[in-house]
Amino acid sequence: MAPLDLDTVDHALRQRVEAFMYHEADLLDGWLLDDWLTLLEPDVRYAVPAPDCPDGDPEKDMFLVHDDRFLLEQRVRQLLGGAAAAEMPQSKTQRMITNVSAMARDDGTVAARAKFVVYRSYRDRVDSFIGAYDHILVPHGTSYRFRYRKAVLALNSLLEQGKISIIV
Amino acid sequence: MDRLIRDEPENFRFRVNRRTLTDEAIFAEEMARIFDKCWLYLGHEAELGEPGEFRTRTVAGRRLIFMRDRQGEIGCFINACSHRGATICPNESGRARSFTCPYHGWTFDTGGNLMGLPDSAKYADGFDKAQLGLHRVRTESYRGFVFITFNPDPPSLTSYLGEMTSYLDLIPDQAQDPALGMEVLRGTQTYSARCNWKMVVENIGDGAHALVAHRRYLDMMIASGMDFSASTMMKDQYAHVMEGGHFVMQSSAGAWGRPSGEEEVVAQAERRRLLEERHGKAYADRLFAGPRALVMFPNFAVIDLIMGITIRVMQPVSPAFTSITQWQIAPRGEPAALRRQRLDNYLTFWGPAGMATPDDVAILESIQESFGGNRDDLWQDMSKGMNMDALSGQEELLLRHFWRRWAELVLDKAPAAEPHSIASDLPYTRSAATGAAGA
Repeated sequence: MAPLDLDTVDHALRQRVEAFMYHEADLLDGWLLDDWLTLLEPDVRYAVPAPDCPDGDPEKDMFLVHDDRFLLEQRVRQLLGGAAAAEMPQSKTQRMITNVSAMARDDGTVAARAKFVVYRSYRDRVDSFIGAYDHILVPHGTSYRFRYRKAVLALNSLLEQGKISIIV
Repeated sequence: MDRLIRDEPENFRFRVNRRTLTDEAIFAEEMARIFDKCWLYLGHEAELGEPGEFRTRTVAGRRLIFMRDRQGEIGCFINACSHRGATICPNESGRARSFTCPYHGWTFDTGGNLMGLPDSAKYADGFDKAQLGLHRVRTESYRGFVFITFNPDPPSLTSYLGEMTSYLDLIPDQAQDPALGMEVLRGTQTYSARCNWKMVVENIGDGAHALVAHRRYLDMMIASGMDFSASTMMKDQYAHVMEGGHFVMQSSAGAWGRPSGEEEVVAQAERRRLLEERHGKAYADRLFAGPRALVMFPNFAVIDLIMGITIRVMQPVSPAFTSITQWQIAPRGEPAALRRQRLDNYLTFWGPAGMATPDDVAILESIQESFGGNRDDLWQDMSKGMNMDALSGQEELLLRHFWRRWAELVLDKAPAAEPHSIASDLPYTRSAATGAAGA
């Protein structure tokens, strides 16, 4: 890892990205999933690699999730429409997002990283999903949209959680 | 035994007592009479490309090393030092020249032989290193699928699998290039269901739950533009029950998932042409007949959706906890478009984060919870279709078939015959003869 040079860190950019990620977390925790969809670019990809292949290529390797916009819209419709048995009743979630960093890329997009813990309470059970985000954000008006939304789990398996029925 | 299974062909009723899904003593009997006797899936030869490559995994409660030794031979060892039992290989995967125990430094080669131990002069002359290798577990392979057994006197694997071998053949016979064979893709899905293992196996042979529990997945397919309905899903569906408790559900519903793009359509046609050329039209028709699920008693499934092919093992951990591991197996060297579609086809449904599996897990867990302390003498009903020639997977024939084998092994109960006749003239043989089935 290169030595830290605080003079090259764009603190203002980090704060903007942080605010965006907190906003996203509020939408997801509040089950405001239709609003959440507005944060996605038309060509968005949402990826969750398999725990034993965190650096995998979704076109060659097996992932846990690799959704495009159509699939995400379907997921949202199902989750809000009561079609998913795994989310009936809807679970409660709280997302802790920390260690945010942001870097402007030459093409105008922003590489945003953060650590997360998503706690999910379903009936009397609590599952936690821990990991790191590795997003590509596109400036949109006065905010951002996701072009790539990747959640790399710091888990070895889903034995404890059983499944992922929410957006992590 | 009527306390546990009531198989009453004369009344067209089949019931299983819920104690079979909760009771610790029954679980212990299952371990001894099923999991210490049957052939159990361990892994695929393609996972271990190079000599010295290994995977560690747990099968039937044993922690194992699945190994390709320096000479290239596949083997399996208990992952515990022969000295005092410390874990000899802590990593999930990798390549090794040897294994050294972290406790006292005993060292083993990749064939499990004890190579050396510190202070060996302190043992008596008769102390025989050759007797102190890692405990070897018997393995046999069928076309790349590696099974193990803890049975000291097992039948051969091919006789254990019986008729199922003709279905397993359909997997490696899809290879893009026979010389390259199949590969198990990087990325393993390991998840769990807090329920009895038998319910997870049953679920695969229970075609009737799909339209209800997985409505949301089917809606997604329809929204994506697929011509898909209950009748297309069930098209030509048949259930094939085999000796040994194995079964297959097959239909000619076409591939699941989303519509193919242009590039995929071209690549699929080319693939079909290639396989017809290699195997002949009749066999290619069978290869591409439609989605099929192969379930091998007790806990192994291969789910071939024509595109994505899933290997799934369901390991009992306790009466109310099952660990599930899934891999994708695919033709090595296939065109990128087919690989992409295969993964998309698979992920949308089958993964623990897909649009179907999480609901299965949640529903199965709710069933287990509903049993509570299970002091109420309640029964699972699996009578559907007992009064008819149940040829599809929409009735409960496959469940009864699984449970009858279970009862044979665990309760020494000779299986009753279904009250109707099960056709032995299977659709695939008819299709092959007439060339009627197609993709």
